[in-house]
Amino acid sequence: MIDILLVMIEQSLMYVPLVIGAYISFSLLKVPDLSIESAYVIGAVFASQLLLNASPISLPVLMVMVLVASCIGGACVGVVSSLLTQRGKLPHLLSSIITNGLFHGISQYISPIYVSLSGAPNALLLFSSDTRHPEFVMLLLIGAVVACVIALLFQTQLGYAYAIYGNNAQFFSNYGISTAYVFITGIMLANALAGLSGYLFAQSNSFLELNMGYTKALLCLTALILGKSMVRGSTFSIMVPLVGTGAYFVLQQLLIKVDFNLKYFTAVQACIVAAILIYSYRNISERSIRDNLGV
Amino acid sequence: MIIKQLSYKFDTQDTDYFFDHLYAEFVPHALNIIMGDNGVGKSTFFSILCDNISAHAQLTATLEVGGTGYEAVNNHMPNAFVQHVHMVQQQYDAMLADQFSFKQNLQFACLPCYPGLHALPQAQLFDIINDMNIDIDKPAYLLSGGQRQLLAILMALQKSTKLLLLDEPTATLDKKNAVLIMEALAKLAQKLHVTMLIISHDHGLINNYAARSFVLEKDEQGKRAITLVR
Repeated sequence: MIDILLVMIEQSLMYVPLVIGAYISFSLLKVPDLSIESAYVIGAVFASQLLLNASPISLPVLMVMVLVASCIGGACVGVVSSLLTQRGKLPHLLSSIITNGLFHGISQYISPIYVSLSGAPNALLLFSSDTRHPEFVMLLLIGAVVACVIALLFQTQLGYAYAIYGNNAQFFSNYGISTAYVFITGIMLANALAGLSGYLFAQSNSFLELNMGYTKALLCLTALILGKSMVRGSTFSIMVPLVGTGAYFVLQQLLIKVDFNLKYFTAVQACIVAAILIYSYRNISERSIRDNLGV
Repeated sequence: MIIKQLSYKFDTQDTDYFFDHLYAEFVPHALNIIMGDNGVGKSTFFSILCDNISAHAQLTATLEVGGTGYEAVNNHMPNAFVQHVHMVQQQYDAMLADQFSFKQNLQFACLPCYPGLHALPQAQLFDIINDMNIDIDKPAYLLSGGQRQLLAILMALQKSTKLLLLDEPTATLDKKNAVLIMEALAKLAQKLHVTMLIISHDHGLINNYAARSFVLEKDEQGKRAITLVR
């Protein structure tokens, strides 16, 4: 039982930055930012290239460098997609599809399709001498830091600005506030978090696959829908992605318990998302709840 | 506030001026109502004052506000003037963040050009909010039409506004709410020293609240002029 619990929490911690990023783009900015799938892969590619090619260096320094590299990788994807939307005046769905294509090619150029990280230093083993579960402790620490930083961001002008954008994208032009700045920083941050998550996944599993970003947007949607169904409140909250990610992996473990083959899990996710959204749009007339559930 | 001269073409290629040497003198810190037929150019006049004009437009203007003179530069109103001008459009919904409370909306209107990592700025809470019994913690989408209109106006007044342009602020309101809004505007104009230009077709309200009323009209040659009515 403890082992199952640990697996559940560890998996949740790996994906928490990704789902928080998706919360910023899907729920606060309310844009269909499919480029998080590319950001997830590019973050892992940047970090793995650093791990495989860096000259010997102390583990704490390496860890910081790798985490920063994965965030920068993801942020690069965000810059491209958000600039296409803001400066190229494309709808963001188109921008993110184009960006996905661009970075799929770039990642193939930088990295082989499959990369084993078993021979590279593991930046998550910083506390290997102090604990029986060093990787778990490191993931917990990273997850806690990310959650705290984003929770604090949500209390700031910039955090509110992301939520205002999703509520009314024309709002800023009336008050001399830069819409492009709010949008670009929001998408960059969301994608940087996706990149970080990509690295955490690759490092925990000791391999990187260039198609590992596939269906991650659906994972985020499912987690966010579950989170929004469970966390009540009229305003935005870091609890939505945190609770949603936890609920997602509880659901996954429950399905494993009843001998469900996880290769069909995406179909279950799609059904959950469709059912909750159809239900909420048909039956919930109150505007606030409908807006909150809409992704 | 005196508009000594304002000439405007939508496009530099146009042969005729839309406004040709327009002159108007408005009462400071009071309500100035502008009437006129549909399509005569009332909204265009407002758009010019808040510099919401196309890059192809041609503009020359000389204005005087509170003893300070301003001149249009490179076909645009000068920044020093525009930063004190705010407009509340007829479709004021675009100015509100519906999901957030009345108070938060007022705070959002004070955000800087590049919102940073600081707490939300403090908003100016006006007496009129208490007078109208508005619950400032209520989300904007739950407010009545009059309260939402007032919110849009108070948001426009948050940033050192000297000239407030209101495009038919009472058009969508019932008589009771329209009276409340006009009373509020008259008090705010005096208290905050804001000159208000209001497009309206409601003659009852104009007679009761306007310090001066004008009509924007076009003569037989197509030349537009702002004429004092009362």
